[in-house]
Amino acid sequence: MILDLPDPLSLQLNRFYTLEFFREVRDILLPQGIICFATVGAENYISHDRASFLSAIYNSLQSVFKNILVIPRERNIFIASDGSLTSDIALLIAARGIQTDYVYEHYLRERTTKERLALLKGSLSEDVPVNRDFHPRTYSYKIHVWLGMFQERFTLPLIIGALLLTIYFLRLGIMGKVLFSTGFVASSLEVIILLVYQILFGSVYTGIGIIIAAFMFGLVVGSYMEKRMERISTKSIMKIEIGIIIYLPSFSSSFYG
Amino acid sequence: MKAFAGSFLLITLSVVTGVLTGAEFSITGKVSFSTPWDTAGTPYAADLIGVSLNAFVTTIFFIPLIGIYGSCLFLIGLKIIIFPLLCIGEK
Repeated sequence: MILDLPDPLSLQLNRFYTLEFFREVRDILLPQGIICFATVGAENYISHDRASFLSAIYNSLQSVFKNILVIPRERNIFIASDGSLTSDIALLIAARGIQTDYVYEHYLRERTTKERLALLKGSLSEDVPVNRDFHPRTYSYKIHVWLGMFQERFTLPLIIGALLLTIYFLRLGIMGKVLFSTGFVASSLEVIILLVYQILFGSVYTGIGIIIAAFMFGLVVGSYMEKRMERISTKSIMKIEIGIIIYLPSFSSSFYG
Repeated sequence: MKAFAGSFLLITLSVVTGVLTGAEFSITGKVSFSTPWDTAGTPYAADLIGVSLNAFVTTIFFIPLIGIYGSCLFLIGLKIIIFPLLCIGEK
């Protein structure tokens, strides 16, 4: 199986680099079957972020397949299988008499020198956690790699923004704080629902309309409930707050069931 | 069938999220703010700032760094912090 995809810079692409995806691939492959894909590489220098990115993919593959081979250069080619693998591809091509125009022996040998393989292998870390559908680590590492190409630093704007928000939050009355947190929680849950939809179905476009409509319908029902209540007090808000606190664990566990 | 169940689950969660939010928003507006422009202004601003903050924080930090489960734990923590404030305000 050959995957010809861009690097996982979005959750839509990340789903093809996860432990769950590799398990599904292994289930449909023959015992000697191979999965092969490439990510953008760096020939002579592997930064910490790039090493973490590669390690997350490598460790995810290692959790599923017995043998993994990474061929370095401007594109790092990952090859994984439960069957045996060798980096001496030139030898295999020659042994089988395969005629090639571009990928000839010297090109392949230069690409798979011991030094290059050792540099890449040495940069991989077992400590980097595997990439999961609902915990997309390669997506985060890839963003770090991308940001590392530029000199911009976002620390100061982030600190100023956080300070302003903290002042605003502290100046809010109790009900303002409640609504602030509810707005934060509700939109977080909506974003999570949309992301989960994208992870499960591949594209958020097909579901975004119905999911937003469902949320708006819920808002209408919730607002209407207030009209039907005979006595409204702070206790009513406390009951809803308890409802939200109970709802959140069941919300998250519904994706892991 | 799996696809249908998955869609149904996500739509149901979306409706429940909306119901809780809608109920709390309208009740809080009625309990705490006297005039219609108070109700339309202050709570709406607080709600929208919470929403806009989340749009940035969840996608950039929470999901990549702590995952979906970790994000939900953070939200539970946030609500658990707010709840005692509400109880103190009631007294």
